[in-house]
Amino acid sequence: MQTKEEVDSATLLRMAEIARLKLSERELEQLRRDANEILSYFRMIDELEARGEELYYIKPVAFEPRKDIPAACTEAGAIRGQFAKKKDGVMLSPKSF
Amino acid sequence: MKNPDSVEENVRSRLELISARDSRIGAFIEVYAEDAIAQARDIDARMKAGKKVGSLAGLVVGIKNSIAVRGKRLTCASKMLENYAAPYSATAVERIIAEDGVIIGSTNLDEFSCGSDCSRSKLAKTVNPLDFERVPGGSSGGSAAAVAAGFCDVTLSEDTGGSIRLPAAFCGAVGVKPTYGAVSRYGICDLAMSFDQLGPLGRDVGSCARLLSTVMGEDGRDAMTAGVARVDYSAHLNSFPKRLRVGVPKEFFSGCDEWVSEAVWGKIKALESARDGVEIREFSFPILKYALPIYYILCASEFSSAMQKYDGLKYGMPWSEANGRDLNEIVSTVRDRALGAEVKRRILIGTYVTTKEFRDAWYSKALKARDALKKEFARVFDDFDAVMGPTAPMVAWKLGEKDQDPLQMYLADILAVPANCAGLPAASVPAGRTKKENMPAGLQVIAPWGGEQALLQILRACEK
Repeated sequence: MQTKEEVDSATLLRMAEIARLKLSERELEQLRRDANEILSYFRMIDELEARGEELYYIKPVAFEPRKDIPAACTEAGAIRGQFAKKKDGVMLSPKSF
Repeated sequence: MKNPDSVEENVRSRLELISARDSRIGAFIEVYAEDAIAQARDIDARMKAGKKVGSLAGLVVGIKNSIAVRGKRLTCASKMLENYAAPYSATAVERIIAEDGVIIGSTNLDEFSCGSDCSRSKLAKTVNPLDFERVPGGSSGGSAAAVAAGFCDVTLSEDTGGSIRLPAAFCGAVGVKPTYGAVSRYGICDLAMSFDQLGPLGRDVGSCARLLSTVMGEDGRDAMTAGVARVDYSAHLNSFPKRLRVGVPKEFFSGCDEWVSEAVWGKIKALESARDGVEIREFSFPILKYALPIYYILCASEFSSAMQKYDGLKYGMPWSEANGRDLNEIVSTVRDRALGAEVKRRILIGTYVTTKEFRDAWYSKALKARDALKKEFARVFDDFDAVMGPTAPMVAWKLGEKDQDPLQMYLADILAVPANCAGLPAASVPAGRTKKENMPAGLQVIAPWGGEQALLQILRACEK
């Protein structure tokens, strides 16, 4: 009985595009054979019970939202002071671009 | 070799040896003859004037060519970086120079450290100095060959999945992979950042201890080294633990060449007989067999990401050498022309196992399995002070023997990668030659996290 391929040529070509690798037909065929042999061997990790434990570095981080308490801005003068130029009652900022 | 009267004389004799033999052995990518002689003269002058010299004064050091030495070519044995000059030195290299180690040249490796026998280098062909028909091991094959041929005393190499220990075992040298994070990785071309570790590969335990004591310790440019203190391992090298519980996993010997097993067991038994307080016990460590897929899945994932930067824009072959209709095609052409087959294979596998639709089946599972392996090692070190076994399941194979079979090449790393997956310090020390092929076998010693001092003491005892 023929075993199912881990990765076919079309998927491998898509991976090559993502990885920005240009492959000739001969290279693609060789890589398909190699990748399937290697991945079939690596399949053994399916046997391993990973105990269902989440790893600390992929555990979702729960952020506690900060309470939104409106308060008066006490530094309005300091902010206005950043803008030396005014025109028609409007503060002018320097051009970024 | 006659004991030289000066550092310069020592360096000159090494350069003569390199000149006479390296065209056949191929250990070096580049030899820094003038710089090495100038550095040696400077050390001699200071010694003559009664001035202070560093702790490595007189030690002749090779540097694996994936580690930056300012102003020198940093090729990773790839066409991609063939003419790239490092703009700065790795922290470890700076420390070697500061302590007066004489850097004699850069050593060959498998392209971007992807390989186990050094045959994947695109810039030099290295053979085993003990048998020119055999491989030196990889990926640091040039380093091991340089040491075995007497071209230098010790090398600074890098071990991601056995790249220091395997060639050390194949060439009858000593190789030490420190705890992950013990030595700064600043200035190395990364293969897989969560595995890469710099360490010494040298002619004996003493030279490895001197080099490791110099390069290890905290570096503000590598956060993984935070809190790592520098230790002078040479000072206590001849001490030995009062009690040493050694665990020998049965799994290390299944599938191992019987002559390698015999040599390694002989070395373990010799240590037990020679030292009081050594207790040897076999045990079963079934999770070890998963280390190879864990390692290769995660390594390929990290490698495919690390390799994205080689697009010819900042690093790599220039765009002027490639044609294409658009940016993607030009970059693909650059990468196609400049990268070898094994590098492409790992990039593709790494891309495949991390792509969103396949990630859960491969990458995430391998991460969890790595975590389980680390925990199992922690439990093992509750019962033992060191784990021992062969470094590789075979001796150095014949040139070309595994060139067409990448999986067989990967399987050579099967006993070395568990320590990398767990980040543990591990080393290879010669266990004598096998009766059948008369080639060196390596005894591997794995110690608990941060256990370099005891590890080196055990190696020293084995060496005697």
